[in-house]
Amino acid sequence: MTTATPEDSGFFEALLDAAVDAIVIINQAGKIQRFNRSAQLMFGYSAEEVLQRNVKMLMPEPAHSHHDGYLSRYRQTGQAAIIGKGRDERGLRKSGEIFPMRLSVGESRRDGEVHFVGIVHDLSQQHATEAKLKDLEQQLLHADRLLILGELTAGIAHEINQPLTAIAAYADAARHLVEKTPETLDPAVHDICTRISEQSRRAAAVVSRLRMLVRSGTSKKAHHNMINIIKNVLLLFDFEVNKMNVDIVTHAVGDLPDVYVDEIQIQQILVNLVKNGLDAILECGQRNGHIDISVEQAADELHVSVQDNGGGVSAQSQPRLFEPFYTSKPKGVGLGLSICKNIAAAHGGTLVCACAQPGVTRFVLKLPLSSIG
Amino acid sequence: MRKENRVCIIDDDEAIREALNLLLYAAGISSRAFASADQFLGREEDEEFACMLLDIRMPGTDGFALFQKLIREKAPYPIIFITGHGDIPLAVGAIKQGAFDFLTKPFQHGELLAKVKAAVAHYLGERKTLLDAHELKHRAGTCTPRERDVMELLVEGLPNKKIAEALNISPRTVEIHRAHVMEKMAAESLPDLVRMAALLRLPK
Amino acid sequence: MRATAHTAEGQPPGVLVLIEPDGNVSDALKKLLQGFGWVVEASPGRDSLNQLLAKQEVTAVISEASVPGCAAAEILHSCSDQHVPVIFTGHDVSPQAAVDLLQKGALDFLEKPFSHNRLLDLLNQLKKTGTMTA
Repeated sequence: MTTATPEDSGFFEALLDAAVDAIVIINQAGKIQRFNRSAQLMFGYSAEEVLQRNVKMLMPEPAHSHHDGYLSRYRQTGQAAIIGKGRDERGLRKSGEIFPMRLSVGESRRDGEVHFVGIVHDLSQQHATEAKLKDLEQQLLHADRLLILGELTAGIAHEINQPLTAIAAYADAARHLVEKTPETLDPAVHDICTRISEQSRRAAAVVSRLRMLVRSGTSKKAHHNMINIIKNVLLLFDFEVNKMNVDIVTHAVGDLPDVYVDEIQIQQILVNLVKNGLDAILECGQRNGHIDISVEQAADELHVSVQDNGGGVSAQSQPRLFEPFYTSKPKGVGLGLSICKNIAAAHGGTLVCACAQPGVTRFVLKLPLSSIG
Repeated sequence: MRKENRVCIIDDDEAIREALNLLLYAAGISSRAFASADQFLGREEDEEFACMLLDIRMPGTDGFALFQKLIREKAPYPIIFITGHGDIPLAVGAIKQGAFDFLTKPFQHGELLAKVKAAVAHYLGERKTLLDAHELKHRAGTCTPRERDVMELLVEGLPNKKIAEALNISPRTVEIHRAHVMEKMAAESLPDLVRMAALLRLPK
Repeated sequence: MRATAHTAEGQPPGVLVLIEPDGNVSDALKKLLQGFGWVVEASPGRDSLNQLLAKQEVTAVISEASVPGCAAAEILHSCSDQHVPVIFTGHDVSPQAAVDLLQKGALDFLEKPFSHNRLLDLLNQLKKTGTMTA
C-alpha cells in the first residue's frame, strides 16, 4: 500500500493511522497517495480501492466535476481558494451517502514535487445535534405559545361569558315580548329568539370545555364515562367537522364500565388522535372523510379505537409513529403521539397503531379497568 | 381521641382516604373511612359521627344521591363535600339542599381542617341544645300538672300572690309547688328556669 | 308611594336593584326583567345601593360577585341590614367563593351565562311569599 521512503515509512505511517481525523494526501494531479485509517473508515473505501485514483471520487457534485479545474488553475496561477484555510464541504462515501465535512488543506513542496495534505473532519454528528437543538428550540417556542394560549384562553373564557350572558338575556327578553303580542309580529321571530338562546348556551358549553382542557395542575383521577369524555372532545371539533364535511361517529359496544382516569389527559390523547385523523383526511384529499370512534370492554381493559380513512400510514412510518419528533406533517412537531403514549402508560395502559388495512389509519387506546373503587 | 369527634370519610380513592385519616389523626380527630356509599350504608357498627366528608363522584350509589338520602332522613351530622369536580351549580345546589360546606380537590389541608373543626363544633353545639331540650322535657314530665301551671306563670314574671289568685290556690301552696318545680327542673334560679322554659318551647 | 305601572296580575310591580358593572349585561338583564313586570334600579356600587334600599321596599338585589371597588360581602351586609335577599351572579368565580357567599346568607348564586327561567322563578317566589325561601 505504501510508496514511502524506507527509513521513515514505519513511524510516519503509524502516525498517520493514529490520527483521529481522515488524512488524504494527493499529488498535484489529484491522485491519492495516502489514505489513512480514519479516511478509510470515514469514506468506506480500503486504501487499495483509492490509491492512485483521482481524489474527486470522494466528492459529490458539483465539486466532483470542478476539482480538476481547481487544481490546474492553482498550478498555473498559484491562486487557491482552500490552501491554508479550512472550509465546510460535502464528502461522498462509498455507500453513496453525502455527508458534511470540514476540510483543511496544506501544501508540501519537496524536491520539486508538490503534494497536498487534506485533513477531513466528519461533521455529521455535529450537524445532527445542531438540527435537533433547533428542533427543540422550536418545540419550546411552540410549547411556550401553547402555555400562553392556555393562560389567555382562561382569560378569554371569562370575557366571553359576559357577552354571552347579555346575548342570552336579550334573546329571552325579546322572546317574552313576542309572547305578549303574538298577533302583531311575524311568527318566525319567536323561533329566532329561541334559537339565539340555544346558541348562546351552546357557546357557553364550548367555552366551558375549553377552560377544562387548558386547566393546568396536578393529575386528578376520577371515575369517568368514556363516551362522555369523547363527546366533550368532539365538541371542540364542531367547526372543522362542518367545514370539511367529515363524519365522526362514536359508538359503544355493549355496556361500558367507568374508567378511573385523569379526564383532561385522556381528552388530550383523543384530541391528538382526532386531529391527526382530520389532518390526514385533509392532506390526502379524501372527500368522504370518516372518523369512527368505538369503545368496548375487552376483558379487564377498555379499548377506544379511533379510525380514519385519511390515506393510511406507510410501512416505513409505522414503527416510527411514536418516536418523539417523528412527523410526516410539513409543519408538524411530532411530539403528540409520543406524549399520548406516555399518558397511556402513566395510566397503566397503552396506545398502539393497528394499521392493517391500506388507506385506513387506526389507533387503539387501551386502558386498564382497575379494581380501585 | 374523643369518640364524639368522629368524622366519617366516604371516598373511592384509597390515597385520599389514607391522607384524610392521617390528617385528622394528626389533628387529634378520630375518623372512619368507607370506599363507597354502599359500604357506608351497609356498615354494621352504628357509631355516632360528628361530621361527614363525602366525595360526589363515586361508582355505585353516587355521593350526591347518598347526600340527598341522608338529608331526607335528617342525619344529625353536618356534611362536607370534597370533590375533584368543582362546578358552581353543583356547589350551590349542595349548599342550598343542606350541605354544611363544599371543597374542591386539591384542597389546602389547613382549610379542610378548619372546616372539619367548624362542622364538629356546630354539631356539638346543636347536639348540646338538643340534649338540653330533651333532658328538660324529661324533667318537665316529672312535674305534676299543677306544678307545671305554676311554672308557666312563674316564668311569665308573676309574683306568688298573683299566681295564687290566678290558679285559685293559697300562696302557701304556690310556694310548695314552686320549690318542687325548682327541684325537679334542677333550676338554680328564676332566670335559669326562664331559660329552660324557652328551650322547652323550641319547635322540635 | 310612586305611581307605578301594574303587571298583568294587577299587583304593584316589585322593585329590584341590579348591580352589574358590565353595561351590556346590565342593560340586557334590565330589559328582560322589565319585560316581566319588574321595576329595575341599576346601582353602580354600595353607596347608591344603600340609598335605594333606604327609600323604597326592594324585593331583591341581583348583584355581580366581582364588582370593582365593592366586595360581595359588603353588599350582603347592606342588604341583610335591611332584610333584603341577595342573588349573586358571577362569571369569574371559584366554587369556593360561591359557597362562601351562600354560607354568609346569599339566597343563590348563578353562574353566567345562567338560565333566566331560574332567576325569574326565584324572583316570583320571593314576590309571593315575601320571604327568603330557596
